[in-house]
Amino acid sequence: MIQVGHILIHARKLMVHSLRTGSGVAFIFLTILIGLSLASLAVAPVELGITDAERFRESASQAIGIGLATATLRLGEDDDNLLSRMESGDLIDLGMWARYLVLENPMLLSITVLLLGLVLPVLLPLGSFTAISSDVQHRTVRYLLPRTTRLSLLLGRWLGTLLLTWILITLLLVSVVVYLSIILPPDSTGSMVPWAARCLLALCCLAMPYVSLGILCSATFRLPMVALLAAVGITVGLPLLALSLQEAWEPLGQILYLLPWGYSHELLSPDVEKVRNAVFYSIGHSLLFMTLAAWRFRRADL
Amino acid sequence: MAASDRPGGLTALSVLNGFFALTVGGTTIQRFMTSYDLMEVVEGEFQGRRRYRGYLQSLLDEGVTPWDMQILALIGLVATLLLSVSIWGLLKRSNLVGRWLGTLGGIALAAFYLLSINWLPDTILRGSGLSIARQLFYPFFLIFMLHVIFRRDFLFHPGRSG
Repeated sequence: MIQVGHILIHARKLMVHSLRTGSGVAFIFLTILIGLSLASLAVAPVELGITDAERFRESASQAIGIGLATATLRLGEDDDNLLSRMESGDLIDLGMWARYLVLENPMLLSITVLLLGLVLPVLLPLGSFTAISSDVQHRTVRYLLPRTTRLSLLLGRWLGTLLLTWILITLLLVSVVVYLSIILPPDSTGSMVPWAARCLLALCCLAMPYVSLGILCSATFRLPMVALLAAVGITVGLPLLALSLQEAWEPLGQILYLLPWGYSHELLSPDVEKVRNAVFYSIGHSLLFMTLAAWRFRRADL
Repeated sequence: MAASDRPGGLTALSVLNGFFALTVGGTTIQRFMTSYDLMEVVEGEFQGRRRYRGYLQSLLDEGVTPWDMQILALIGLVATLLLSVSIWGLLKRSNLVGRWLGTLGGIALAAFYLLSINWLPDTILRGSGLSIARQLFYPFFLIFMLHVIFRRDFLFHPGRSG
């Protein structure tokens, strides 16, 4: 039986407890530090005058197009011809998508969010790997279970981890937007807030399945470090495996869709229908991972 | 052997303090050396490579004085010492050595970064404003953790000192 009150208590306790644990401190510190570093990586070339904004916009548009072609498994064998395919060939939609991100919306914010979309999935397991496994390892979960149900505990820990992650992402994005609003001319910051809200929604949706995967690993493995390694290993290993299997036989590349890697970029698509689908897929992935976690945790010998 | 009841976050903070003490310590040594080199250039006694002399001259032209460098290096030294000492205090949960010296270390670290931004030209800083904001994050994070999250661990620790 699910008790909402219990879930909220578990979520609150997890958030408070996370700030006191080594892994929680490492998660908060690394997320903010790496997030700001990525934003700095995007902003520095223009700010330091290494390149001018127009040239940077052009090369960023090409790089994003190549990234999108990789993510959508449409790279093909003819790498040399990629740019012309994006201009007038079969990848023209990706070329337009890249231009939408850097021309029609604040370029530096788009680049920062795309970089965060690549790195956050690897960082997020740091916030969730101890959620269940730490109590199982130390057997303290036995003191909790007489007072609550396993499902309430699992959902509460998931909610707490997700809320903490969302708060961190919000803080990170707010600091980047405030900084960009200071350095950019006032007329170019008008479109910043709506686009930042859209980016925030995209990153929050992206975080959901990865946090759920972390919770699934935490509920599956008794040792926190094994849970962390499993979550990071799956997150990093799957796209590498998919891209190399695609070389052998193209349909095998579809295993990329076992994780949100295959559609997460569509959260920033110009097509509203694609964005809606990507949000539904994210929720679906989260539900799937949490169902597996609940099944595993219910059967676990604690 | 009884397991320690020290929160893991304090151990993590002590590791981070060690990391930042090393980082600021390295920069402090660099600032001291640059200040002495600048003095030699001002007095016309510098005998180093021509390219390095040109770099030092450009610093002087941009208004950096050996005195600025020495003040920065001194603040860096204070931050390094305070952060290093506070590692022990954090591990022992000492209110004076851990919490307060850690706080002073955080303030010294923030002052070191802020004065660097204010006094040094971009040629030395080699970073965008965001990378500087990133550097400022840790001192504030440290002070927040010591005074909000771990406050009770220092005040109500049975074997506390100070």
